[in-house]
Amino acid sequence: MAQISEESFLSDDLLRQLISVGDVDLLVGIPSQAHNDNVASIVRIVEECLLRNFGRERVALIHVNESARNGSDPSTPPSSSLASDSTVESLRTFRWINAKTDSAAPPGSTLRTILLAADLLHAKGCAVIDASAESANPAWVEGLLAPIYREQFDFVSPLYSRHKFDGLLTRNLLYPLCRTLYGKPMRELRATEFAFSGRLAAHCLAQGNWELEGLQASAEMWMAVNAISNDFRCCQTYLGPKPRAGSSAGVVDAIRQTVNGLFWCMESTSSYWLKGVEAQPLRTIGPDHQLTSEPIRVNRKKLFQMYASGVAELSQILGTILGSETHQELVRLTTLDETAFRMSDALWVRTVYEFAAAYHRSVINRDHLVQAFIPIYRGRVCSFLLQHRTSDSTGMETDLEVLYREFERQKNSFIERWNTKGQGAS
Amino acid sequence: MSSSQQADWYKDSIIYQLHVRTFCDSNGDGIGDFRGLQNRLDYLQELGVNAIWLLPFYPSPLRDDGYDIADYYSVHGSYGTLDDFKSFLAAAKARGIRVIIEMVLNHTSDQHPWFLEARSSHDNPKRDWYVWSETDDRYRQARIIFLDTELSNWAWDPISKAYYWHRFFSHQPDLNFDNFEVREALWDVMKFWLDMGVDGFRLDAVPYLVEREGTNCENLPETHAIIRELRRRLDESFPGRMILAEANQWPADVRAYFGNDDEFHMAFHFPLMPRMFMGLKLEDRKPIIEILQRTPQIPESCQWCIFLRNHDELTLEMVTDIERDYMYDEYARDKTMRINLGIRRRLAPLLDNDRRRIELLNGLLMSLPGTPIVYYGDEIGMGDNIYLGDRNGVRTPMQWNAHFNSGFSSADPERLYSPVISNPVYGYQAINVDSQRRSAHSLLSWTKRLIQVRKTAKVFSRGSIEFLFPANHRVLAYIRELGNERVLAVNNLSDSAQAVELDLRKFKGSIPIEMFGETLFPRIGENPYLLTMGPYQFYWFRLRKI
Repeated sequence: MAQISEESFLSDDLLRQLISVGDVDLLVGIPSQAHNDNVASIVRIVEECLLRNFGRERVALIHVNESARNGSDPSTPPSSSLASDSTVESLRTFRWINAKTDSAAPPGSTLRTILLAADLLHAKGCAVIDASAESANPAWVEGLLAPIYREQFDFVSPLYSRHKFDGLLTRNLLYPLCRTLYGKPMRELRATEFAFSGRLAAHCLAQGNWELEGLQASAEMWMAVNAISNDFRCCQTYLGPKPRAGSSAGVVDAIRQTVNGLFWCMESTSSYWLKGVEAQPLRTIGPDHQLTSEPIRVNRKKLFQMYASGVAELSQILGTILGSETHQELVRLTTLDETAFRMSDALWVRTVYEFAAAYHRSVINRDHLVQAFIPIYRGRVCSFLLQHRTSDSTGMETDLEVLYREFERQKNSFIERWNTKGQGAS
Repeated sequence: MSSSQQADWYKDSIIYQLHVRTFCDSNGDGIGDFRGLQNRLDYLQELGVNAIWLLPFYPSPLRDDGYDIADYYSVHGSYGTLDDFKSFLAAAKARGIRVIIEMVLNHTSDQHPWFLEARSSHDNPKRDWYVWSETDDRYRQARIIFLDTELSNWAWDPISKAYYWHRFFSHQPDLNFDNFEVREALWDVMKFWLDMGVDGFRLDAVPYLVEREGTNCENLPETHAIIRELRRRLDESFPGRMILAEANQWPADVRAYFGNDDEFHMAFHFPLMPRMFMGLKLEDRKPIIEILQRTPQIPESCQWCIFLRNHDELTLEMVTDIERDYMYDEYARDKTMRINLGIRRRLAPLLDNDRRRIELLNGLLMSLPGTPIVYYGDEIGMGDNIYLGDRNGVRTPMQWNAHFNSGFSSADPERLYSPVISNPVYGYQAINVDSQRRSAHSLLSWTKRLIQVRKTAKVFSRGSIEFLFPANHRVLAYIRELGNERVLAVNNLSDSAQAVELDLRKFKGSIPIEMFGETLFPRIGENPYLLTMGPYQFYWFRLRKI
């Protein structure tokens, strides 16, 4: 488990920059991977939005980038800066912070850095825009910050227009499960664009045990869940189209990280959802999310093969994690023809709940448990793609609601299972 | 040569601006006068100022606070006599205080005999001394300055049945500077006062002297030619006297009024003033640095005049729309505080009577390049009365003590030209010279000390400026340099304590000596020089190689 010393997390360089910037009203965090070519463009977009929409406010931008450690001048704005652009008038000095992250640092360090900056600068609101967000525009920044700054919301989650086969982990797992447990229909719990209040930032810094790997794996989701489960004012705002991810590289890592984070969040907030939470509406600003359905190529056969081989290879582990009925049903499905393959909502939900309970009880090493979940998820995706090959957005939404109700239906038995003492599957 | 003997004495001046009417009433008629002012010269000497700028004191119907002159050769009866003025002038000079008087060239009162003659008939020899027209559609590109009161720059004269041109109020007809006789007449006026011994003129509304079709009638080459001729005659006949331009324009446009050292000696830097207030409210040095960086170099003998407040509104003509909206929202949310394109408030109320902010802005005033002007009463933190109409709220009687009528006059309060400020915060019982004289820590005592310290370093009045750009944008830091003399000024524009690291490597080895306490600070080395500053605090350091 990665250990971060509280004393050393804030580097002297970053501290010096924060001192220079002083209090701000609004902060925008831009996390980026090393050598991300889109950073300059995002910075320009953010700057333009801030100058046009928040011209009187004290604003700053913090770029959290691995390459920053290579020694770029922290006080120098990027070449795209509008500061010298005579068409955009600025009353104030536009402030720019370069934060260094260590490539070996755990993934939550980026958000933690932004939270710390927001807290230390006493920001009233902070938006996070990932540097890889190619469709980001100034309206995104305003859409995220305005509810915080002008309407006193504490957490703003994004809504996008995306392809119906994008965000499948969210659609099949995060959204319906978290809606069931936490009562609020928040679409994007693991967003790369979101906003939060200074109050929430301070709360998360105070609450979070940032040395825990689970939190590190799911910092953004943990924050969203924290906002919901601690009665912070939350809303969703429509940002617009979000293009499909171009490559599937790192998908396994992403699934592992998300599932690990989700189960960890469930555990860390169990006292909240175990008592039973009423379903509540969530304010949506602008249109609801939208689905597009232009044709895309999906290798369903490969997905099915990975499911089948995974279930076979991990049979012993799955037997430890799952109830026998669930396990047997998953095994039976591997014998079907790929085109006839369906993993029903009931089976999927039961499987998810049994994995979550097993994670809670630590029946096996948690990393191994999450790893074992991956082929099951692939099977669910394969089934989902087959089922929705020709679905329109209305049909997709109807089915999503059905899935959510299935999570609700099985919730009580899941809670029972969660509360069962002892090791191993029952 | 002492500064009092130098031809460019105005560079080292600290000017105190006042209206005779407001300062001290010697005869109990409720109106300040020259004898009263003379009686208070010791106070000004004690304060440390070395020049007085008098607002118009000429005979006038006073429909524009004296800027509507009806006789250029005399003193308004309420303020005394010409002999009273001469006596005051001699007394001021005896104290080493120079006297700058107001001269309104652009226009007269419609009660001036010149205008009465001019309107009497189309054939009158003085007819052409003003600008007439059969129609009101000439010079349409000229903006209207007093938007709150005037609809046109032309006014109909029912007597001579024609329109006359006025850039300001309709009762202030513009003189026709294309007429040689007008130019000669006004030079005679100036000579009259120069012969008497005044040290300089503040020339009102200079950009508007000449009109030309197809232009905005401001800053025209013909206007500059008139100024050059006036300056030539001044230098020829009265060397060492000074003219100061009132041109509320962008620095690049005002620059032309210095000419090649052959027009004005000084000009107001109007755009800097609102930006000092803006910088303070924004807690950001940006507006101040930007405007000073946009300020062109001026000839060696010339000087900017800088100020925080004056007898007019805090003018917002030389700011952008966004900046103006910001200033209104931050400094004049109550619309009663607004007039024309500006804010009719005094320094202390603008700054919420916050002593730290008042000190900081005065610190900027005294350390940025230029000759500073202190508006009467601001040295004690006088308040205003925004309900008095026009700009009269910032022209109330000087508050000398906590006694009857604030010690300004023995007249019945009803007779005073203006009610004294009497509210619990700024009223004369709380804010007055006598009580502040008795406290070593009063604003008055502090201001005296500030002026005293400024006068110890010529670098403030004559030195160059180089801005430092520490990462902390709330801190405005600059080096003033003159020969071997260097002063580092560091200003915290924010209401919270700030740490700042200054790159002072080029002064490596120097020791900063804080100028108010003569305190030694650690020697400057290779590393960034760290200073911690309290809210709104400022430091002046003399950098000495020891």
